[in-house]
Amino acid sequence: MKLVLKYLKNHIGIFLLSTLFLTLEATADLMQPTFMALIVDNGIQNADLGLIGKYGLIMLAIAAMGALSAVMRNHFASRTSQRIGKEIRHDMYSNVQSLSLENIDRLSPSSIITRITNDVNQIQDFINGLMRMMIKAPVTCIGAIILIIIQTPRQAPIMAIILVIVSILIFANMRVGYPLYGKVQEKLDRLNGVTREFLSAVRVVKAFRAEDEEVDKFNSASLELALSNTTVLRAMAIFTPLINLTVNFGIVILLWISQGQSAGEIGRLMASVNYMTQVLFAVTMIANIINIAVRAMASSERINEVLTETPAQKQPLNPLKPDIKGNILLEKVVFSYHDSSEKTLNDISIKINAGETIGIIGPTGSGKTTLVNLIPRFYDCTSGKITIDGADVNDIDEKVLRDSIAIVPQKALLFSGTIEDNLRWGKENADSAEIREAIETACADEFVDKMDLGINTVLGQGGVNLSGGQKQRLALARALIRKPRILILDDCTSALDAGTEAKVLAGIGNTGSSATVLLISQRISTVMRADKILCLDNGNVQGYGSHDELMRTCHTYQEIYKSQIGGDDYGK
Amino acid sequence: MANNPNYSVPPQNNKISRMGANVVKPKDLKGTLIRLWDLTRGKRNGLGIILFLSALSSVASIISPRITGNIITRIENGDSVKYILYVLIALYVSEWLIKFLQQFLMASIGQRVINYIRNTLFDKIKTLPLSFFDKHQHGELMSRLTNDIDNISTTISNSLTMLLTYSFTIVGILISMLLLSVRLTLVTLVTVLLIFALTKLVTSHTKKLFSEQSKNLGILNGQIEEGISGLTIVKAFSREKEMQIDFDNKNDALCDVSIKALIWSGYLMPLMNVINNVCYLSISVLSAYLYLNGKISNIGLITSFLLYTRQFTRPFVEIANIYNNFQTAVAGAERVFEILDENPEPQDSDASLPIPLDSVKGDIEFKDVVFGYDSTKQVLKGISLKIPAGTQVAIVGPTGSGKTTIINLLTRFYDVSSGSILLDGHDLRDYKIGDLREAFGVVLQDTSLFAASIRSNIDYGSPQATLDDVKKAAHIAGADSFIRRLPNGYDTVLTQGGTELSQGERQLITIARAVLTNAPIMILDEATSSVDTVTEQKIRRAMLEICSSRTSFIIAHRLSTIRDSDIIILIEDGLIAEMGTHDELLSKNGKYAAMYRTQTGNSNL
Repeated sequence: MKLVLKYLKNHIGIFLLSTLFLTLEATADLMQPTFMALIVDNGIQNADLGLIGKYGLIMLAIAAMGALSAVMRNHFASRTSQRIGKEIRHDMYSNVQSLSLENIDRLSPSSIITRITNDVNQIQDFINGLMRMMIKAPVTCIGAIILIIIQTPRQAPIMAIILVIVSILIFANMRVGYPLYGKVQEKLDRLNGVTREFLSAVRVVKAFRAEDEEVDKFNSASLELALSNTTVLRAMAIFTPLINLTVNFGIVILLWISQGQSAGEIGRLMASVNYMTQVLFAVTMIANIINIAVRAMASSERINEVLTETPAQKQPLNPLKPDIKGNILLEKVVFSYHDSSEKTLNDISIKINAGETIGIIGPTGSGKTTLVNLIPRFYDCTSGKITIDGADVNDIDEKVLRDSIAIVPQKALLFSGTIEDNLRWGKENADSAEIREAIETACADEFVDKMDLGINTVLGQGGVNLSGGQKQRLALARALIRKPRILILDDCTSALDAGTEAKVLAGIGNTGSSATVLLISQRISTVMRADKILCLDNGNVQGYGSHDELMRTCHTYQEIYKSQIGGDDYGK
Repeated sequence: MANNPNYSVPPQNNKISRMGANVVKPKDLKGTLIRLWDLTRGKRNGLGIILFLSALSSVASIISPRITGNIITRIENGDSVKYILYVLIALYVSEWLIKFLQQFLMASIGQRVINYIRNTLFDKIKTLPLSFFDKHQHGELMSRLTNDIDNISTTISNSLTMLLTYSFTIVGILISMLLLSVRLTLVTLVTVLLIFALTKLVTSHTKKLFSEQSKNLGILNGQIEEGISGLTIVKAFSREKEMQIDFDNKNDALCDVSIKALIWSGYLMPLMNVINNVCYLSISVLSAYLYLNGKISNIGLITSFLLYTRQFTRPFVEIANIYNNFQTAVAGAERVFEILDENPEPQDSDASLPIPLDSVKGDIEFKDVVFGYDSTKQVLKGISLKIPAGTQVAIVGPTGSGKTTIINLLTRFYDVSSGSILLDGHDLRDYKIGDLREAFGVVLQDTSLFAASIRSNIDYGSPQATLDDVKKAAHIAGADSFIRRLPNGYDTVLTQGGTELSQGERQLITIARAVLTNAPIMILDEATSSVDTVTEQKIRRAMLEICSSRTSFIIAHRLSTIRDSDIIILIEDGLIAEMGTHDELLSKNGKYAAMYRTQTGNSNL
């Protein structure tokens, strides 16, 4: 709950004001029966019509005051809860933006997304409820009890006992309910998990005729959820009516004690009975509030985890802002991912000169992508260092570093917006000639030009309306438009057929740019024409040199060559 | 007394009441309810008892104010109340018992019905054709299986009992009030009318605001999802600031509209309260006049009436609320029925031919096959071809030319639009669909793994396989060596559904899965695209051995993969462009030859 307090602090004035109005509102509700008692005891008993009218008007004024207070606190509660929700979302989002990819991997993107959306909603609802009724219930409850005691002082001990019993019941309800709710949530997650798995693997399920197994899995998860839901509901079935019964017994006792009371106090007795019903209502409300609070508590923990996460990478104190040329030097670079003891890259030392094109090839899992991810500092080396033009990448200003590098990832990620918007990610102020050039170089013109709206075509989220190959070409254009000093192509032409790929790569070569190009590919024909080729296997450098050199010296490379281009001695 | 049954609803619903929240209107309220009633036939034993109990509980809440009033009159007159207090106690205790029983029984009945509907829906979903899954977003289907169904049963079962309780209460109280005093009753009725008018006014405003709110929420969620799942790119292009600004704008927009919606809907409760209070005090004052004028004989009547007034208006407010929830739930039920009404995959008929696995030959013939995923655009435009049993077929062609579609038709994920495909001389559609699919060992582009052990991922579809079989299949697929290196070997559980493995490793497991089925016909759709070429060749050699006596289909981008197939089919734009062995096609010096040259780098282009 610390989180809620922290954010409420900034709105403390409004919060207190709303509490004030809430109290006024509760007071207004509480005064009604008292005046009714006065009407009965003074007005009716004395047959004083004027007095009855006077009390009636006072009651009306009080009701109006109550309504006004309610409207005010409604304003305040709505504003504050939504604003706090907005602030929490803003803070979370901006913290996530500052995190390193290592943090994101650890928290998992989908979990971060639910935290920013669902969990913040829980908190918002909680604050809204807090300012709307959570305070009102105890105020009403306590106020009503005090008024009962004032009206009929003999009731005091009974009221105390009832209050204790109700508190115990509410507490027990909470103790029993909290873990049960947790379990329901767990089972729901499991059911969702099973469903998601089925939906995303539906082709496999059908191809392997495993529908029945999936149904079994689903049914058992569904049954478990139903059972734990039943348990919660049964627990509730025990407590809620029991709390009602306790308060109702209060009314009975109240009436019991009042037997033989003088007629002059009958109005007060009526008021007391009325107050008891208000207590009853307030008490059920409190029990309900606690359930909401419990859920908000769980959410605030999850939110806090995101807010307190600190970037795993340190930023340099006095960042260098060099004019990057593109000489890259890896010195004894070792890297392993945070949750793994295995070295993904093992003692890699290579030198890349500005303007060179370096092909990177190697078996699956050999560390190709990891290697290029270290250059723009998506991750930091575990040991060893990477320098660009002699400066350690860790000392270079992050923006300067990343602005001079363009990367085309394996998975082409586009964002919703027009094609042009997406391309401008590479260069905000690109003119139309630059955009055109990038599109043509990436061979994207052949499909962009066919679209009715051309580069103004709006893409759905993640570019859903494009094919894989089209997305890759746009991702490529986005990087090219930047005219980077260092261009990283991470197997980004895999969905293109060989002809288009060759055209694209030739285009990049012909633009006459002097960028350093790191080209990862599975196809030997793609890397063959690079200035130098880095052959990796299992995190180790197997060979580094030109095609001819590697054909002579590097066994892994020869094997890859043979497998793809091979001689006729190879095959059946 | 002032019980609010709203607080006994299950956990999913105890949100702070949002009056007038966006109600989704059902299309056919009555029809849907009748269907729901039919669907749950036999599963709702005990519902009668619950309805009976709710009638009883409303009787209790109608009688108790009368008794309380009676007691007060007696106290005022100095009569003994001992006996009548016992009645009140008995009434409260039975009310408690009824409530407890009602909720306790409802817990199991409600959940039983939910479970049943959920399972029915899933049973249906599994029979739906692939086109259904391709058309619907997964998130949306999941929300039908969980949210909609929960909504249906909790809301409808609760609404039903509450509606019943409240109707009983309203009628009962109205009769009691009329018996007590007609004049006072009229005052109360005016209040009810006022409340109705007010609700109408406010909800007409909030409806628009709430739908705008959910629209804005959707936009913001989209932004978050995009920004976070694409964070690598955001960072690579230093777009953090722009993303934050964009986020803040959307966040602001949502906040503004939410505040408006909340404030408007928040007016309802206090205003209702005022009306209630005004009513309460008018009754107080009026009854005092009437009592003094001798029109009302006893003071307890006033107490009873005041208690009734408090109880009378609430059910109307609640019913309005329930009606909204009810409509949303019925709309949810309609979404569920929509799925139940979908056409399933063609069912086997009695005439369907079984396929004895050991006698499948593997002769396949395409006769003028035309197919389009939708009627406007044909993907395959007339493919005819004969493949004798035991042939290794490779399908190549540019992206989008229709290669995967051919596989989809063979496995009957989709059926041809016209023409036919024959297996061993019979149309695929004449076979039992299950037997047909068992005849194919398929490695799909989609490398879906399950959150289970490696072993059960490999023996998926052939659960009777022994561990030795699994290991052998993994060995053939070239997966054995990396699996051995995992912490628990074959028992390693893929807790994240395989994302902890590299794409290549996932492909190897799916290959092992297909190998294990030992099916007479093998299909590999880009099965080794993320596997390095050395490993690929190893797999290829092993597969050749397995495929030696079988018909097999291989789709690949890398031509080196398929060079030694018996027949290579080049598909372009939905038609067969070239067909022949590798050498034949090279000497033909056509499109295939050109493709091959660009890929191997011996380019003379």
